[in-house]
Amino acid sequence: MQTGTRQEDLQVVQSQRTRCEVWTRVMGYFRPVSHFNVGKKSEHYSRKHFVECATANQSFMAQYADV
Amino acid sequence: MLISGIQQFTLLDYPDKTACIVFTPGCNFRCGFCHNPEFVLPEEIEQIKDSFIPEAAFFRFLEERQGLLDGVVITGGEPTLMGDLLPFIEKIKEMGFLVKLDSNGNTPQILKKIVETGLVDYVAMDIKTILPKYKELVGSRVREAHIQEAISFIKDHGIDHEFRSTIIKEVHTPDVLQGMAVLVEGARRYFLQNFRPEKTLDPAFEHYHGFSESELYDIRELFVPVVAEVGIRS
Ligand code: SF4
Repeated sequence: MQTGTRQEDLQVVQSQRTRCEVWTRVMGYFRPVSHFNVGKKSEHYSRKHFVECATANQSFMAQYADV
Repeated sequence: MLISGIQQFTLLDYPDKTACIVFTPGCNFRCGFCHNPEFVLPEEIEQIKDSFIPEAAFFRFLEERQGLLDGVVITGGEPTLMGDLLPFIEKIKEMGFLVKLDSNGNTPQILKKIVETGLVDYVAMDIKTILPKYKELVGSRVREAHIQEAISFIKDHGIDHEFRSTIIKEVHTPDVLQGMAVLVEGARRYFLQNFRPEKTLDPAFEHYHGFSESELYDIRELFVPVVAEVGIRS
């Protein structure tokens, strides 16, 4: 297995990209985001995603940082 | 020392001991199957580097755990790449904890220096594959002679140790597994870790497979004659 840099890899697959349906929930059930109404779409795009490791470290620091 | 993550409690990572785990950022390998790419790939380390934990906070945590935890597991990434690993271990030992050090074995000079201080209680080294196939699996930074040197050093030194391998159906063919048994011959402990196709450094590995339970037991039989204790972690 020989892989190039990530950048090169990304360029290679660019030509093979296809549409990707994202499913998530705003209401009580999962729906494709493309079927959301305008308001719900805007809520979806304004979501802040968390990085698991960074969040865990922050909660560690909340407990053990110098007080 | 840079600390990219802490797991406050584990019963699995230090055999027969309770421990916490310290993760260090950066690695000289790029194993496609790596489950901790956020501690390996520079672009992912960049994303979490503002959340690194200062040593002082870690030691405050450790003070609270005195008398509660047996040991500290230092892993990564590749911890031997940290320039101040030794003073860090010294501090942990002064507080009365056991220390287990994980390494991929590519830096035997550093490993030797640290083990010879007597400050480390347990060493765990990965055996990724057979030596001629290392480069293909972990990238160009590997020095096969270093891996061999680290294996021999750990086996001969007398320090409590284990070797372990994450095994993947597409990578670890019967021939390869045979060869790995030769590499670890004479070791105290060897653990087979079944590959799980989740969150891998190289997305291609998400299509690879682990082994079934019965296959794992068959593979175990290859190692039983040459290693004192062979375990399966799946
Ligand atoms: S599996 Fe270990 S040696 Fe391989 S890239 Fe990940 S941290 Fe480095």
